Amino acid sequence: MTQARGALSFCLVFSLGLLVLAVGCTGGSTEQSPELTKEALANFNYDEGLPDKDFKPPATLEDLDSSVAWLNKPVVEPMAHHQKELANYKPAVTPQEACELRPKTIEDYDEILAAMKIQPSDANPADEDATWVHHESGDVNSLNPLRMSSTSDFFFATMTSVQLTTSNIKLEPVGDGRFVKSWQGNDDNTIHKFVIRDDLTWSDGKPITAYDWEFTFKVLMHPKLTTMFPAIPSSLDKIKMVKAYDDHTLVIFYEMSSMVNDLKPEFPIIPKHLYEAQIALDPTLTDSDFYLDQEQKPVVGGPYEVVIRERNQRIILRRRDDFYMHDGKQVRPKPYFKEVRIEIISNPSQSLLKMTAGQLDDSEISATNWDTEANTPDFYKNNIKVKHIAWSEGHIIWNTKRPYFDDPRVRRAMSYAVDYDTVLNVILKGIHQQANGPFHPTAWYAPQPSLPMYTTDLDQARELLAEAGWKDTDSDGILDKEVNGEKVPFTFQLMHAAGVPTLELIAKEYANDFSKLGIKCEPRGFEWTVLQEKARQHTFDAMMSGWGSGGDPFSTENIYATDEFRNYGQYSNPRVDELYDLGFAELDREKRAKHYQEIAKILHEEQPYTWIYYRADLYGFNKKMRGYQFSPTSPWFYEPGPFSVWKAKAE
Amino acid sequence: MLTYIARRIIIGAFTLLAVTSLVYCLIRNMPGTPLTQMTENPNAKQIMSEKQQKELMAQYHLDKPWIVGYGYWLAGVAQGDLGRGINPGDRDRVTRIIGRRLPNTLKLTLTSFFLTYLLCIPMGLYSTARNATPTERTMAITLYILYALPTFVAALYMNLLFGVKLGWMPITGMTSEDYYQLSTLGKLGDTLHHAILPIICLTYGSLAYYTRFIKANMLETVQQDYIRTALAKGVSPRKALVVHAFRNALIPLVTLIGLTLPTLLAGSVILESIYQWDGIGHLFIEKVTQRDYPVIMGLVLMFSVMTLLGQLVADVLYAVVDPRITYS
Amino acid sequence: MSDVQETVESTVETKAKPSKSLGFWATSWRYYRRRFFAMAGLIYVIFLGLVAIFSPMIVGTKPIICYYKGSIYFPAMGYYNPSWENAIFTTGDHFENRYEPNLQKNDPNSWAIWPLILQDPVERVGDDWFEGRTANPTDIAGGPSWKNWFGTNSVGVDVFAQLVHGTRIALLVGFVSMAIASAIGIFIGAVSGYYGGWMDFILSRIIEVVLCVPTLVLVIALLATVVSPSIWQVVFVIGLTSWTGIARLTRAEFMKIKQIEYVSAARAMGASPYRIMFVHILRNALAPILVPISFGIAAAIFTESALSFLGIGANSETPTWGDLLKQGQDHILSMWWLSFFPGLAIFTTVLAYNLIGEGIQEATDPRTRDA
Repeated sequence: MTQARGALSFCLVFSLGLLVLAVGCTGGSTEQSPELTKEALANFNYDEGLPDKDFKPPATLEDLDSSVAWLNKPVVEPMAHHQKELANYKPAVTPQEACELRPKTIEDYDEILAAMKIQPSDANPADEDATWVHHESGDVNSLNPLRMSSTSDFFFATMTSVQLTTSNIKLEPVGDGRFVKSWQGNDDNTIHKFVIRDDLTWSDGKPITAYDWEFTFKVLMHPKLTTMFPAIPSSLDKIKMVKAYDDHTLVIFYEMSSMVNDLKPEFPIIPKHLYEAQIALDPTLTDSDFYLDQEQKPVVGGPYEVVIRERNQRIILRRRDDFYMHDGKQVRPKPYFKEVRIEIISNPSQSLLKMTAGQLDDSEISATNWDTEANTPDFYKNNIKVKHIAWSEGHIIWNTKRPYFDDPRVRRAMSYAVDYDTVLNVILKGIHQQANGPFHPTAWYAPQPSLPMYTTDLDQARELLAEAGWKDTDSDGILDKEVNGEKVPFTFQLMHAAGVPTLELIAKEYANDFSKLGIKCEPRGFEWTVLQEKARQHTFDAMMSGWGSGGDPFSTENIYATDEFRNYGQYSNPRVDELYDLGFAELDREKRAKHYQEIAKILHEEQPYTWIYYRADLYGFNKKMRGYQFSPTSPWFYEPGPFSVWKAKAE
Repeated sequence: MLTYIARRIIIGAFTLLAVTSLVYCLIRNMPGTPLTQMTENPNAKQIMSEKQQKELMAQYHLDKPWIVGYGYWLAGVAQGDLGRGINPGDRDRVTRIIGRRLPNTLKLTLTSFFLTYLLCIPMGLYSTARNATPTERTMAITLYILYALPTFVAALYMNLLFGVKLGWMPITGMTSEDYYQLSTLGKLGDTLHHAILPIICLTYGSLAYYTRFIKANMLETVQQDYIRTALAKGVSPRKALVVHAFRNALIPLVTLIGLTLPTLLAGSVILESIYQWDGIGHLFIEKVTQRDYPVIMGLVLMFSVMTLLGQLVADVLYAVVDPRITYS
Repeated sequence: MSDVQETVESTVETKAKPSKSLGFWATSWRYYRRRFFAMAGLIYVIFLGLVAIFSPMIVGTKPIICYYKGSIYFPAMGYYNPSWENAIFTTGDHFENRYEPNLQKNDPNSWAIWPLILQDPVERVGDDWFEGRTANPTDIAGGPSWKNWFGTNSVGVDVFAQLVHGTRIALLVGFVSMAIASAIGIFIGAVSGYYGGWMDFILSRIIEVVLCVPTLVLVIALLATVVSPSIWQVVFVIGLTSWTGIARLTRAEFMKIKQIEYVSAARAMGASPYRIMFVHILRNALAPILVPISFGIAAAIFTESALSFLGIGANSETPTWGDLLKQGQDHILSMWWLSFFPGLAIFTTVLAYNLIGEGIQEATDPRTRDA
């Protein structure tokens, strides 16, 4: 018996030991003596990753200035500009009235948005001690801005980071006047010169200088660090060099002449004075106490800084006095909120419940809940909802390398077969707008006049299918065709993300629509990662998905150009490839638009996708919130974006 | 006995080898790699370059057959290193990733565990003493009703009632926003306040099982001769039940703890997702969708060790309790 | 225990000859029958089984029998399997589920016998589907009414129809997964318990390995690798991972029973090991094994709905109860009927199985019988 007891206690000790092993393992923090740091810095070559080693930029600023005729590019202080624009703005309905509206049509929503965008005035000042409780559905990947890659990261980055350029509400690139004095380019747009403002400080009190940008660029390009930053480096593609000539002058050299270069300076930066030694000491960017500390409370240069980060729970941001004050003077407009709290709730039903209870100030609402949960008296007690058509679209991708969809006529027939009315008005409740191509008709690069919509036309579809050789030869009710000497029945799988009820309903509707043509379509849901992998390996027949859109059409090149990374349907048209190259190299906006319009026309004709709808951005806002406005991508990802939002002083 | 345990541990090591290699083979052969989600970026301009992808593949041995990758993992484990997370969201050491979440899960499961025992022992004793009376039947049926009530349905309705309509309880989350300004006692109260609903959901379902288990064991014990002797000697029925009989029936209950050990660590995927509870269940499903192999392997290793250990503890306890069983 | 070999069938005779003592199963049944809740559970499950079998006759929009263009058809069979719906109605004449108007339009001489309730589990019944019936309401307007007993979901599909047709899947999920689990569990447990030794050692390790492999990984892996993932892969995985309890119990029972003399007697008479295991021993070990099986059926229904709820489930022709609950979660405030009725269905079914399980246990265990 005693032996057994001994054995038992041994067991328990053993299991506890394992638990401790699993829980309490502390990482080896690196010793950081000054000698060690010096040695590490000497051994770490930051220039190792520069894209063009032979490139020698002009040695001094004078040399550069004398060789280039500078053209000014727009620089805007977003908030100052916005406040000035709306200084005398009087909406048709007051915000109080708008809060009582129960919107039905898109005009109602526009009316609400028009009422809510007002800015504070002397009569109706903003509450500068207010807290904004913002909802995100996922945690940030990292508080290091260079590592961001998800939408939650973007919101956090907008609130805390420093950037040279940004985009305005029309998604046009402009210099960010909060951080730069001027932005100039040469005649072929291959060199940009920025003058950085001298009243910028990091949250640790050190000044922000042009060298921080130069340093960040080198870090992002460094071969030893490439695996640490999954997303940002690719947006710096085709930059030859970022060079600081002095504390406040920064010059960027590009490989090619393009308007797209205007989008490139918009990358976040990290403080050189902190990271230079730390990266040299620990290129994994994970283990040292410094990094762990930066993940909790990073040193930032933007309007807000992190007070508390609880993973998968919340991030609390506080307004930085050093941001809008410098040497005792106010140098920038004071951000409205004292505190911004990012609440992370991944379950959409629960976040909506929380919003209904008045505990969230804004939240995205799913389309399924739009006319139900977000339409109850309980919801309207504390909140209003707003809708804005975004430029992102939903579609079906046809795998053009499959025998069914290699012929544009078949793809057109499929587009004619979809019952748009049922899909858009019954299943999607008329929330979204029908789409006619990858570019939203109001975008500057969309064809004018707008291309016609595909409408439900079964006769046309049957005719096109017959032309393409699809006939029901064995009268089993399903079309077939001889491909390479083999009879192929028109039976394909339509894949979509599993577990989304709306998608399943739409997929069933498509299957129903196609069956009217004698085509058998089997909808199948796949787990998200599996779906991605199948898309990337092109092992699918057809797939339902959607693309977001930026302000510039060049970003769609990796979707429609031959063999590009996101060209899941393997569509290929040499003319489209050529037009993308032309559009990239063209400097004149009007002429660029022509190239992209031609692309849109070709895509409309060949239907590598069947475009179904442009997605509406659906948001709920607490009735206390004012000042929000929507860009074609969202209410947040432009300037002033989140900074124009405010709460009135409580009466 | 010690030789028996030593043998079991050695056998257990081989079982672990089988489990981990099987799971590693499975997850490596599932479509998708850790890079699948990493390369998916909402920003159309930003995609991981091919070079980056290649480098990452090489760094995590994804470019080699799974058996080689498993070899590397095993070599790491042998040196006490479970590796690091691959997804950029958390590149920390696996031990730390798990270590951060484990206390959160234990907060719920351990409390629920003690609560279950605290409630079930009196209920089990009561139903033994009053076996087959109407009150006992009612209690048993009530417990069965609770047992059959799906947790996720109960969680939703409780959230609606106590969170939204009455406003007594927080709807989601583990702490209030002012948690860090609270005193130690306030922090404890705040955590408890947030944990009440999940704990209730986690507990109510298991009441029926444990009560029945205790009752079954007690019924067997009360028929033993020594109880009859005790009663004959004038011990009160209550004392005979609680002191004499329960002591014996307690032992199978303790062995049951061994078998429930792994569930304590696993947490509940659904409850953690409804209540935004940053625990192991949440972590597991998140990492499975991300295909973050090292973290999945770390979790599987933890579960397996606990499962095997739990069984060993249970077996040893049987031997301790029942002298008829000997291991050699 | 000597008259254990008596089977249930023999009870019929024994009633006529009361002098002969009742067999084990007959006695158990007598005790089981006395337990009100256990009987209620059994009756409820039988009721559900009938609902499942006759679901297309109870609620649907396809005629049970119809006469069309000179032949008799059974279109409602399409609810069991889409390919059983006669091709003339689908790819032939494109009825698109609107039988009544199309039957009359294409063939005035046609007639049809309709299900009791004219609602479809997959599609919203529209304005033109049946004469004199308006389309189903959608969203918050779709509360329970005379037309839609349990309301409709956000796109107007009848919840009652979905529940009734979902019964088929719910019951099959439970039965099929537990059939797989019991087959594996009993076999492995029997072999392991009967032979002992190294066989027992190996099989016990296998049990341990299966106990350690997480179901979630298996489900996702299997759904990802098959070409056409469906609910049956999920059922298969549930069955494949939930047999360990059964196996351990069987093993323990076999170890106990194999030492009883009648087994040695059977062996002495030259019975093959398999005959001894699965004829002689299993019969006596079955009663305790039935308990975890019945609880397992309940657990399988739980697991499936939990997986659907998490969005990991796979497509099925008709929505499962778990799918319905997921929709219910999305509309918990505005459309209570979407979570209430499916929740109730899962709850009552699981309860019924559990009551059956408890009933079997108490009726077969001599210690609790008299209760």
